[in-house]
Amino acid sequence: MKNVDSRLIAECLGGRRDAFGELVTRYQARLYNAAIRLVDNPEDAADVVQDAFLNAYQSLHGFKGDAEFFTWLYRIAFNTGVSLKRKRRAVLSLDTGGGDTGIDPDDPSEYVRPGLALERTEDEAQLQAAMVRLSAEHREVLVFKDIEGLKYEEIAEVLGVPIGTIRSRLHRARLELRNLLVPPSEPSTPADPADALSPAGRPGPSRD
Amino acid sequence: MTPAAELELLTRAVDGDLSAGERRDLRRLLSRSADARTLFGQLKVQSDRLRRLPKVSPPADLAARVITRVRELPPYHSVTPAPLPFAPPARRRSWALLAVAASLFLALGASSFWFAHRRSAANTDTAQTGDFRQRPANGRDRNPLPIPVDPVVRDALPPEHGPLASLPPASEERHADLLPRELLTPPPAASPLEVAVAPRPVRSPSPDLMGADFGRVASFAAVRVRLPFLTSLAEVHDRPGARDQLLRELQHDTPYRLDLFAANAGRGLESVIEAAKGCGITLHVDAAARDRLKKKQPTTFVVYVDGLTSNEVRDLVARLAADDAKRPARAFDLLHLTPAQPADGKDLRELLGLDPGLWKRPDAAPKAITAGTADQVVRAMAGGGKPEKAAVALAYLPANARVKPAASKELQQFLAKRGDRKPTAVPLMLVIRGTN
Repeated sequence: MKNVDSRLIAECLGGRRDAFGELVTRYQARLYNAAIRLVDNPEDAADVVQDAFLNAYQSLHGFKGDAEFFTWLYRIAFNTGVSLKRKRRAVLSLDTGGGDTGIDPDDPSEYVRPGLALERTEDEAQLQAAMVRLSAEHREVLVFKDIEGLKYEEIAEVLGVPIGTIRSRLHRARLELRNLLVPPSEPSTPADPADALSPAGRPGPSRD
Repeated sequence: MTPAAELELLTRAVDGDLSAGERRDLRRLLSRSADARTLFGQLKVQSDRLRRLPKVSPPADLAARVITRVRELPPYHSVTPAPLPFAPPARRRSWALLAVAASLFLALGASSFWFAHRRSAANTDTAQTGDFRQRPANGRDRNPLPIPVDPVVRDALPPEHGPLASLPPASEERHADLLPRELLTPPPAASPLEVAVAPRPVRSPSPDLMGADFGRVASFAAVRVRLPFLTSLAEVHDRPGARDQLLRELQHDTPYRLDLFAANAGRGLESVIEAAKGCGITLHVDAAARDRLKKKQPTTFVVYVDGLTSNEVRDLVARLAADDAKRPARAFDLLHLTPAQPADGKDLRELLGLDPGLWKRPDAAPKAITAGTADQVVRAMAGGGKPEKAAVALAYLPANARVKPAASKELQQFLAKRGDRKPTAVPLMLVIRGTN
């Protein structure tokens, strides 16, 4: 995959813009899937993806090729998403004079639009609602690790923090999500210890 | 082990991020603590649920939107020289050092050769001209014999040329009996003396160090970068210069894509239909596109025409701009003209159901009349007017709004009327899109 990316990037830097179009086609679905879990609605996710690709095109000459193109693109998208959320927050506070807006940003219904809720199973809706209530830091690592299947090193690259920080964030994120999903009184099935002892752990999601 | 450490062990076990020793610790923990087993099970289940979340598909037109925006940016070769991608920096540094060393070595070799070449050339010249001023004056002359020097020459030499000046005069008397009489007559007058070595002939007005001629060096010239034509439709109406520039842009003998940005793409298409009618163009609007227009569904429309000359395209845009200026609120914003790209050709192939041959040059030589052309001529003669200029309007985006070419009656009508393209005609893909 990296060879194809390298070729397309080289062609794009040589002046063939269509090569970048191929990169867009290649990665837009995956990037959008990650973006929509990180931001709060589909429109913002589309904006993040669009801006991320445009920023990537404009900075393509600075791409050194020491990381995978997609990891680099993730990082741009992540920064774009953070900027977008910051802007939205500023606009929201200007519009309302900073007072109580009556809008709870953690309200899952803000993300789960009526149309989507009908299409989604109850289980997915519950999980997504819990994800939305996580802090941004915790949501990011869970999205990158469990949904996107990135390695620790890649997540560290995307988020620009050391691997140790990723480990500890992931640990806290898993516990926080578990607390949101499982009521304290609910009993649950004990795990089979043998599952934990596989050296490789569980297989990650497929990465293309 | 503290509970916090146990918790971390459990969460890391979910990711399979444990060493052999940690796996042993985990096994012990799970065997002795039911709570740990429960928590581990919950963490594994929730991780699997996250992994199984269905993929959310992006909007159908997202890639097209991004690609259109990228097209608005200049291509790389006109902005930044493309670096060699993925070359490790250390490797590049070593190549740079090698290049510097090679340059120094070459310069050293060249200058040595030049110096030696100059010395030998000077010696040759000296031998040929009889000038011996450059002979070594240290007594180690290869020719130990006294050399006859013309007295006039000797007198003309400055005193610092001691060894030469002290050489014995040429004894004309010694050879008098051997030479013809006329040669013994003294020279007519003291002509200017060439006491210096004649310079070596220069073969080039700007010889390099080694005297080699590398021919004319081409002067550097600025690179002209052709930027896409971007202006507002209002400008086309208000400023005649913009219309002239548009015409110039249309005369590069290439197919074009013209993006018209309208506040409402539907209103934009209606305006194009009116303007086309005013310019004598029959615009066949596909029924599905008309239906979306009627229902006010957000759609990007495409109009394809390949029977207009660049002047006629300019007139169509000018007409559109003039009509737009008359409205209380303008329908159009910007227009963006670029040479069509292969992706545009691909889209048109899909939309029209055939290859429109954007980059094919129409044969200027006379050829047999096709049935379509004959029909056009017959129709024109019957109607007493010029052959009809046809265009077709179709829904372009979202992709699911497109119709199968064979199912579109209007498209088939257009294709039947289209006929052969004239050599002066400019294939045009006119895209009418909303600004949001």
